[in-house]
Amino acid sequence: MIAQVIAPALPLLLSAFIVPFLRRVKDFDKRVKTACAISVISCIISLTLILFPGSVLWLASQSKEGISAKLVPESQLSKLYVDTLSAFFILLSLIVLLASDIYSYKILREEDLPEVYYSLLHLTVVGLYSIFVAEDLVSLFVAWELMSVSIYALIYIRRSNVLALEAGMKYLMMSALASSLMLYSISLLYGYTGTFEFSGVRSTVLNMQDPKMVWIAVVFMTVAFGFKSAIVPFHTWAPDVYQETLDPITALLSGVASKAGIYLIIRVYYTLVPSPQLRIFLALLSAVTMTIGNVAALLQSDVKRLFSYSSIAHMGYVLMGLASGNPLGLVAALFHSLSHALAKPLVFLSSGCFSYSIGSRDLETLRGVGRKHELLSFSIVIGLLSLASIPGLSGFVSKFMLIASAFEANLIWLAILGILNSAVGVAYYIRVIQYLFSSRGKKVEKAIKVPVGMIVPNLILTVLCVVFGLFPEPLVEYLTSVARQLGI
Amino acid sequence: MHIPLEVLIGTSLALLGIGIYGILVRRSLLRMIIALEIAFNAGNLSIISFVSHSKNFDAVGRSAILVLIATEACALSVMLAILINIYRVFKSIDVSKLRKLRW
Repeated sequence: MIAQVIAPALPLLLSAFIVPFLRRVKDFDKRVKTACAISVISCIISLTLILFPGSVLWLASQSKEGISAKLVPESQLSKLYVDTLSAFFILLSLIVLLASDIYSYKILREEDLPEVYYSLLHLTVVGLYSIFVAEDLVSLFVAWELMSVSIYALIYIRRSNVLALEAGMKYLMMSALASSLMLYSISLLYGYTGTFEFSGVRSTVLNMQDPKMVWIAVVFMTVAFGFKSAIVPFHTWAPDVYQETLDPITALLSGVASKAGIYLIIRVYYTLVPSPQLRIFLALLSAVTMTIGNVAALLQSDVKRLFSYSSIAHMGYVLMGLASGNPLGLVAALFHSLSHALAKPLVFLSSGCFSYSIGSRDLETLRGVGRKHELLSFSIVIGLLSLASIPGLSGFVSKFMLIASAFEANLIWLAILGILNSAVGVAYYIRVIQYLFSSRGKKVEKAIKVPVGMIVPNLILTVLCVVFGLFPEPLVEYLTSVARQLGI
Repeated sequence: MHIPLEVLIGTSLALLGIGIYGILVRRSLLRMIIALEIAFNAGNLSIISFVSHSKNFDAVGRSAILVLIATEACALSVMLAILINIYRVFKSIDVSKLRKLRW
C-alpha cells in the first residue's frame, strides 16, 4: 500500500535531485533543454502513476474511508493518508505543474535563469503532495515549510530584478508570519487533545463537552491558511507577487499553492473540528474576499494585476461553498477549485504570451494584439469566459452549484452577494476581451511570433476547461463520493 | 515541573504578540527576521510546556519538537540567504526603501 501512496511523488523528487547535476554541462542551451525534458517526462510519469487503474486515486475511491499507510512501521509520526479529497488535489497540482514545466523552457532561455529553477518548481509540488497526504500535524508543518521555502527561492530566482525582490520580500514576511501562526495553532490543538494525529484530534474533539477552546486554534489556523490562499484581510502580498514573478510561477501560485490553503480549510473544518457554528466565520471571510477582490480588479490597468485580484475574488467564491456546509456546497467548492485551477493559469500564461509578443503588460498597449495570434486569443477567451462563468464552460457549472448551495444552506445574503459579484466579474473580463480585439487606436506592428512551447500548455488547459464544462457528470459523481467519505 | 502551565502558556502568547508586533512595525529586515524567530519559538515553547505537563510520558511530543526546530532552522537559513541578496542589490536592508510597488 505504501508503494502506491508515495509512487506519484517519487519521479518529481528524483528529477528535482538530478537537475542540479546538469551544471557540469557547459552549453547553456543544451543544459536548459535537458532540464526541461527531464522535468516534463517526470511529470508525465507522475500523472500516469496516479491515473492508471490500481493507482492511489482508484484505491481511494473504492475504499470506504480512504487508505492509510506507514512509512516506518514502528513510528507514530509517519502515517500517510489518502482519500478521494487528497487524490483530487494531487491530480490538480500535477496538471498545472505540467503546463508550467512546458511553458518555463522559453522563459528560462529568455531570462537566462539557472536550470535549478526546475528543481525548485518540482520541490514545491512535492511539498504540496506531502501536504495532501499528511496525516498528522507535525508532518503537515514540515510539508508546509518545504512548499513555502521552495516558493521563496522561486520568487527570488531573478536575483537582480528590483521589483521581483520587493514582491518576494513581502511574500517572505507574510508567509513566514503565517507559518508561525500555524505552528502556534498546532501547539494549541496538541495541548487540547494530547495528540498530533488527525484521527486522534477528531475523536477527542467529538467527545469534548465544550469545544469552544479548540475554536481559538481553528481561527489561528484559518488566518495562516488565509495568508497562503490570499483571502482578504491577509491578501496584501498577492497582487504584487502575482504581478512581478515569472508567469509559470504565478500560474503555480494562484492555481495550486492557493488551493493548499483551501484543502487544509476543508480538512480542519470538516474533519478535525466539525463544528457548524464556526462556518459563519468562513461566510464572513467569503463575503469580504469576493467584494474587495472584484472591486479592486475593476480599477486595474495592468493585466497580471487585474487577474491577481480576480484570483482573490475566486477564493471568496470557493469559501462560499465551504461556508454552506452541505454536500452540494463541498462538491461546488471543489469543482470551482478545479475550474479556477484550470482557467487562472490559462489566462496568466496566455496573457504572458501576449506580453512577450508586445513587450508590455499594460491593457492600453495590448489593444488589438488578439487579432495577431488566433490560437492564443481563442484560449484566453475560453479562459476568461470560464472565469466569468458563461454556460458551456467549467466555471459556469461550479458557480451555479455554489450559489445553489448557499441558498440551500439559508445563507441568502451570501448567495445574493455572490450573484452581484459575478456580474461585476463579467464586466472586467469582457473589458479585457474588448481591449484585446479592439481595432481603435494605432495598429499593432511589432508583434513578435510566440514560440510553440509557450502555446502548447495553453491548449492543454483550454481543452480541459471545455471538457469539464460540457461533461461535468463524471467529475460531480467523483466529488459526491468525496463528500460521502468526509461524512457530510 | 514547578512552573504552572498557565504561566508558560501566557509567556508563549506574549512571545507571539512580540513577534507579530516586531514583524509589522520594524523597518529593518534583520529585525523582522529576529521577530519571526521569536514568533516561531512561541509555538515551540507552548508545545514544550504541554509536553512537560502531560500526565503520561509523551515520546511523540518530545521528538516532534526536535523535528519542528530543525524545520524552522531550514526556513531561517533560506531567509538569511535572501536577506544577503537583498543587501547586495539595494545596499540597504531598510524596508521603507523597498516601496516601488503599491501596497
